[in-house]
Amino acid sequence: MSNALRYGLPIAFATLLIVAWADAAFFGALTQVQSFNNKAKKPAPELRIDYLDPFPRDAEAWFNDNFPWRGLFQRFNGQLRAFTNRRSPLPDLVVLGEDDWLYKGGLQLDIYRGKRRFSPEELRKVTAELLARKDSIEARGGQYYLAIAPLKHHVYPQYLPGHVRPLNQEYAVRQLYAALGSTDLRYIDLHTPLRAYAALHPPLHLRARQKNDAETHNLYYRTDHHWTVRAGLLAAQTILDTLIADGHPILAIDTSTYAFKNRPTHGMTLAKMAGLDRENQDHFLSLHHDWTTESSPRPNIQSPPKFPYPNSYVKARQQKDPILRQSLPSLFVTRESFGENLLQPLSDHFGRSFFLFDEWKHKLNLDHYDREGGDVYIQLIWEGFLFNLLEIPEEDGKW
Amino acid sequence: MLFSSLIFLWLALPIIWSGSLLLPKVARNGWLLLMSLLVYAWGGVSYTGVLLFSIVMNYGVGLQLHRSTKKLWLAAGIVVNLGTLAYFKYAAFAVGEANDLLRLLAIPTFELPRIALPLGISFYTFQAISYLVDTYRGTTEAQRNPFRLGLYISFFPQLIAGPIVRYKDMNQQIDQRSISWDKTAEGLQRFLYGLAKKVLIANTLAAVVEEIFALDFATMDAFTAWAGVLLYAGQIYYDFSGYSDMAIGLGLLFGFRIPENFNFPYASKSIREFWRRWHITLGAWFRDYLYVPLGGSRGGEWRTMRNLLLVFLATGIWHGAAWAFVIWGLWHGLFIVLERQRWWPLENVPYAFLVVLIGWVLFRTESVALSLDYYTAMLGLSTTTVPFDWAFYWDRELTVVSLVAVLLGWPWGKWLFSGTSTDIPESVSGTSTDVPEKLPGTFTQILQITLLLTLFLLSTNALVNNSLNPFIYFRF
Repeated sequence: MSNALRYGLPIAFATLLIVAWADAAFFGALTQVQSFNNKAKKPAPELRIDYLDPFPRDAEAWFNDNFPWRGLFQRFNGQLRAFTNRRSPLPDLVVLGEDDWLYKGGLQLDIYRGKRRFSPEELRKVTAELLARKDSIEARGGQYYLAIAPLKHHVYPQYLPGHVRPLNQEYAVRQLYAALGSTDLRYIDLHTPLRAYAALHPPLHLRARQKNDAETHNLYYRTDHHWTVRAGLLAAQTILDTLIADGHPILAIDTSTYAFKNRPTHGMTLAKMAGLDRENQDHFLSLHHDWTTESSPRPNIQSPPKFPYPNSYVKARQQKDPILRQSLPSLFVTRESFGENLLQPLSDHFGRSFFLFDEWKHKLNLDHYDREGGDVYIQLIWEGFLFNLLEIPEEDGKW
Repeated sequence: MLFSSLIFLWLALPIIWSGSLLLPKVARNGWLLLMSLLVYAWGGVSYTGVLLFSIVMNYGVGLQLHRSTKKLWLAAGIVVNLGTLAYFKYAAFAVGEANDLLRLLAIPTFELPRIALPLGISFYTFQAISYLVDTYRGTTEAQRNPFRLGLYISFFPQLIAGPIVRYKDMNQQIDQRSISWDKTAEGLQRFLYGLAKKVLIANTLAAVVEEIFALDFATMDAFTAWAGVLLYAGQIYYDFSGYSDMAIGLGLLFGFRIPENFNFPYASKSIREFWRRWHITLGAWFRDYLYVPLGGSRGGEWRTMRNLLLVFLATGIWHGAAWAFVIWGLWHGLFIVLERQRWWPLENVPYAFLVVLIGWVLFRTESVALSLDYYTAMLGLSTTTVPFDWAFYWDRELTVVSLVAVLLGWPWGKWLFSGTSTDIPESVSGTSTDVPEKLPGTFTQILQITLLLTLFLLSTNALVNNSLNPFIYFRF
């Protein structure tokens, strides 16, 4: 063994460890990179004589979560895997598509691919549950609608990587629509209009789009799983058209009265999770209109403890004009984050509107409905959470 | 505590290593014993009681092995050692099997005992037996210092997953050893190389293996079945040999030379040769402490065959409490017996590799029934097949890792440039006896250092970001 290896390797290895820990303890240059765990860090374990066996496991989990260079390695890993492998560092969470289009992995990917479908028993259960909900609302004088916000995968499948192929075209939403088709429950198909619009207005290439305003036609964010206000308006239009066809005395949306603005923005949730976020990676869209409604606060309604978005738990709006407030039908919506971009366009067509963000439980929430009322009840659910309609373990319903 | 864990690499290793360098020589054994017990306790504090019992019991028995009743003491020591192992490892299996029989006879069954398997018990029990037998035979003196015997049995680099060391090999090193730059560099080199084998190769292969072996074998196509067992062969080899490399490297860091455990096993031309290259220390242990005492090959052909089958039956049972392991052991034993016959025609790498691959199915599924389903799939006899989604799982990383695995798994250099002999050691130290060592240039060595540190950082990266970090031999 020559001197270079004999002395060099031990010294280099020891130096690496010493420098890294010295940096973590005193300077923090390498520990500045924020970790992007989608989970709470493990608490520091307590050393107790009656709790010795689990202590090492808990301590190790705590150390792993608080590893000083965790963020640095996560970001490095994201870049490394994207560069060398074109695969996501977190395949269960993020799928790397073409041209920086990022998609939800895991359960949502399985739903898109038709890998996670309703079993006959599940389909029977979910149909029975929805019909029972419809009956409950009708018994109270309202009309029940189901609206499913599509997965981004279904609207922009062309950017999915080659290895992601649908296994079964009769995916869960289609199964459900087919089952509901033989009942009198009204569902509002949002997949068809969104897919048609996306086909007519394909997104531009990442570089080309910097020069023009074409991004305002994007129905989903490139680096997030959520839809944009453009999709929200289109969904609101579809919902309102269905309600008008059903005889509800409301006006259709005149989309020419809405304006969109877009501004370049930093990579959003999916990009951050994969450690691939950067400046000007996406465009944030905002919707502008001369709104006829105003917020109608409900200070007495408390959000559940630990609900991460207390300001979004309940949102109520009403027409500024008292006559319209009384004459137009009222609306009750159970929703999750996808309801955010529907909120104003829909409200403007009702006298009073009430939106409940029910912690992704997607229950009927009769207590709220009995209090608020509503001629129209809309159960809005993201396709990715469709299986929350079943009684499934809580962990399976999260992403 | 797994060596391939962040807490070991970045916290425990620097503490133990620096302690052993900074402390005076006289305190080093005490430090290593304390750290070994702590590292062991990290895997389950209550298991440490079993380890301490083993140390104390074997120390006590060892001291009696100079008396006239030493045969009795040896027998008692072996019975207690094997009894402890049997209780923790096989009691639940035995009761389960007995219950099956009782059910057939409509007799009330026993309650299934819920016994946790102490980590590494199979390894340290065998080391303890080797101490007793060597002392009995007079090969070594009984150890009068319980702490030194404690260090021999509990020395953390090889405690959990081997290599299985002999007392006669370690005794002198515990008393007199030196830490040198040469040993430290060689140890680090070996450790980092082993870490990369475990984390970057074995864990990557494991991700696909887990998916394939989770499939319904009854609907598996032949290609997927063969690919699954091939990938598993890679996983288990890099997993175990990587861990052995880490153990050997750590031993060198603390001045110990631990025996080699692998030598390109898949390059074997026979199953006999395979067992001289795979888990070498276990094979050697069974040879010295079971095969030879049974009579070895001294009693004629039939006795030799019986002894070989008994040894491989024991090898199978040692690996796990399941019929699949018993059959796996006998499968290997059968070929070793066959290879002794003059008329046996096969002696080449594809034959030996195929026999090993077929055996790995039993090893991986741990179930005879599942293995039969898997063999049916391998033969392409599944009536309806659901194709595995290879496009989803096979990516560039797996391609590169598989190629590296194939390149490192066979002695290509030796085959290509030095004829067909495969008899070279696997270690990266280049200490081959038949090839004169030519020192690489400084630039090459700097490149080598950079590569090793890069492997360390890449392994850390994988450990931070990947949740799958199984270790197959941990449970033995």
